[in-house]
Amino acid sequence: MRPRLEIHEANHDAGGSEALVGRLRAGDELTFRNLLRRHHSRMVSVAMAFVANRATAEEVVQETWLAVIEGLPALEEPRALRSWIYSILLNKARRRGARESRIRVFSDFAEADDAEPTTDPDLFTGRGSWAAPVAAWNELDPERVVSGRQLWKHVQAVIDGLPGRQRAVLLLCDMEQSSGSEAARLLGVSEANQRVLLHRARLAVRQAIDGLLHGNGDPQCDPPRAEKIFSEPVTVTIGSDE
Amino acid sequence: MLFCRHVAQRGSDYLGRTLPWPARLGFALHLSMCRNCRRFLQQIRQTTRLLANVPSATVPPTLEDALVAAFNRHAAPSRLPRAQ
Repeated sequence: MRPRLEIHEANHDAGGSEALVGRLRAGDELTFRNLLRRHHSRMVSVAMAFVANRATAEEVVQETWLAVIEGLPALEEPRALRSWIYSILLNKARRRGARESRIRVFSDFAEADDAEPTTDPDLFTGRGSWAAPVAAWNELDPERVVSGRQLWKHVQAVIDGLPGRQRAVLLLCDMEQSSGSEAARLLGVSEANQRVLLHRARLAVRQAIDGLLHGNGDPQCDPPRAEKIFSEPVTVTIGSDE
Repeated sequence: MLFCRHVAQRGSDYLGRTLPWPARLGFALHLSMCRNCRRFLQQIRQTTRLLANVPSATVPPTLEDALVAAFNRHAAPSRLPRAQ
């Protein structure tokens, strides 16, 4: 019988990581399962920015987990567990991407990103003020959002549709709680470029949520009422094992 | 002069406290007078809080079991009882 996933309070501090690594080194299977469930799908999404397709990304992530298992005893900085896992992942993803002779590598996107405007110029008047009022998100109480399956699906679809570089930065910074400098180092981009990529990704998700709450003219996205968005309860993993 | 467009472009830098202090001061002054920009930044904050709680997708069960088996094989020596 598959063990229930434990729900832990958000604990991204280094002390949590040290205890976690201690449990892993002691062979605590449930701790490993939690770690796997917490990070696996996001690691696949990040790897996809470097390799040709999802199947290859999944292979890279599997190889990463095996390397993590093997390397745990020798991990010198237990406090940096998550960063270490992603370092392994990104090294493997880059090498696999290079072997597959992908023409576009992550760093090639930097200049193109810098040249594009961060925000949609149509949102503003010629003077630089908002062209239309910014509508409030009164329904978006974070506790109610936790039970909104429709919102999660919509947000996940937007994340999946982001350009690979933006998705990777968003996943690392806003979902895996890496610092900007850590994400920039892991991804091999400048911190300035990391900030631009992150902001663009956040804007895309914000726009999608805004569209879901207020409608954006898309016939598949009529302005839903808040109770419809939050009508389906869903089990949520809150926080991290780290 | 700081316009709403500038706030929208650098909103994450303001929230992440990576703006130099003169720019932060300009932002704070603008935000004190502009409800639209206050709402916009609040929505960026809410977006990041939501993202922090997006559920992870399920790991394929056969893959999870295979990786757990590998973990258990590797961990087996650490579980052996100490010799008396």
